[in-house]
Amino acid sequence: MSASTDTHADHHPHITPLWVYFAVISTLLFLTVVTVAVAQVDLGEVMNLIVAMAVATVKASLVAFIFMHLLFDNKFYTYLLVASLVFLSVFITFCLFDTMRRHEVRPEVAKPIAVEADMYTELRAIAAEGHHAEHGDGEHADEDSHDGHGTEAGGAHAPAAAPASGDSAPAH
Amino acid sequence: MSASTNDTHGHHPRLAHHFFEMEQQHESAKLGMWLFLLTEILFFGGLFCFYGVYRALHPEMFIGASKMLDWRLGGLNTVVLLISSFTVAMSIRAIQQNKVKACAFHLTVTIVCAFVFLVVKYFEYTAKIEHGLLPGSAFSDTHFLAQHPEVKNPHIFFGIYFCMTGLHGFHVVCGIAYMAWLLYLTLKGRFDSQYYAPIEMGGLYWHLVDLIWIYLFPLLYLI
Repeated sequence: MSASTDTHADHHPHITPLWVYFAVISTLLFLTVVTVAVAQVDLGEVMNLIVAMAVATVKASLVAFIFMHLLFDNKFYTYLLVASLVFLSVFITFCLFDTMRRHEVRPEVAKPIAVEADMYTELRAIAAEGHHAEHGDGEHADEDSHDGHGTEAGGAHAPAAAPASGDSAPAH
Repeated sequence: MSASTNDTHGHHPRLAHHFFEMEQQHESAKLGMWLFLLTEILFFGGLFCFYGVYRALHPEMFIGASKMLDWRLGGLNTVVLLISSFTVAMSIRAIQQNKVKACAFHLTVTIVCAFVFLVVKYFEYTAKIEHGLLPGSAFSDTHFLAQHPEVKNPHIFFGIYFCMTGLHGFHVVCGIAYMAWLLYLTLKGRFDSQYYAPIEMGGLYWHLVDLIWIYLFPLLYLI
């Protein structure tokens, strides 16, 4: 097929040696074990997350550079990948800037999730009774479910005296 | 191969005419595929951002609700996907050496692994549904609430769980469809050591699916 005038119609791609592939898959499987093992050790929430993400990134790098061939290809593809990760980091980081600091700008009104979603009133009642009430109690008293919330303040971010004018109140 | 009447074609039948040579065609496809993969990264990135924000705001809810996920099934799925990544890389390596049968074999194993992944996911999902561990207002697992009264709003976690693994699972299904088509074409002799770009592009897609799961596993199952 190639004979004619072409100097190189055939391109000779880099064929990764077999042992490299075997080494990578072994390492990946080992790192999976590491991921699980390290999650059993309590290093504090932040450190656990950092370590887990670090191990995941090592695995991801192996897949990207060897299996996806980035190490042997034109560097431009690597730059592209890094660029997308940079943008992703900006996306998540800036969102978290806002999320973690917004309560410093103005006091947050306790949103339903911080208090707890309305639907749990009934569910927890059922749970408390230990499933005595088979479903279909009938008296789905909707009108009482908004004010008398035992505000156990599940989330640490709900400031106390917030005039929470029930945002989700369907009554009006 | 090509039913062209012009027999003086001095090039590979699969070289499209707007390309100078096979390598250029190949690299062109690769560039396009990588750009697509970047959009996929940002696509999932939105969900990861959602995860980040909600976990930062309600860490204890995540810890509590994630106890209902079985890390052994998640770990099994991780292993299965890693192996499928290996076999798809092997299939590309095979066709680079013109070994069509070996290529087809590895593609088949990849597809089988993908199906195993989906089957495990099926069992996970049905167990969740049975217990009522559902997203949003569909959440109805009073047993969980009785056992973990301190966990508030677990329906949020399961919303994230189903969204992320569901979207990922959908990508796996699309991957299976594409791989099956590749397998068919491989068996028909469409590819050789000069032309195998579709296989490599499918491989790149499949590796991305694996990459996403590599991050999903510790974030959802190993909190």
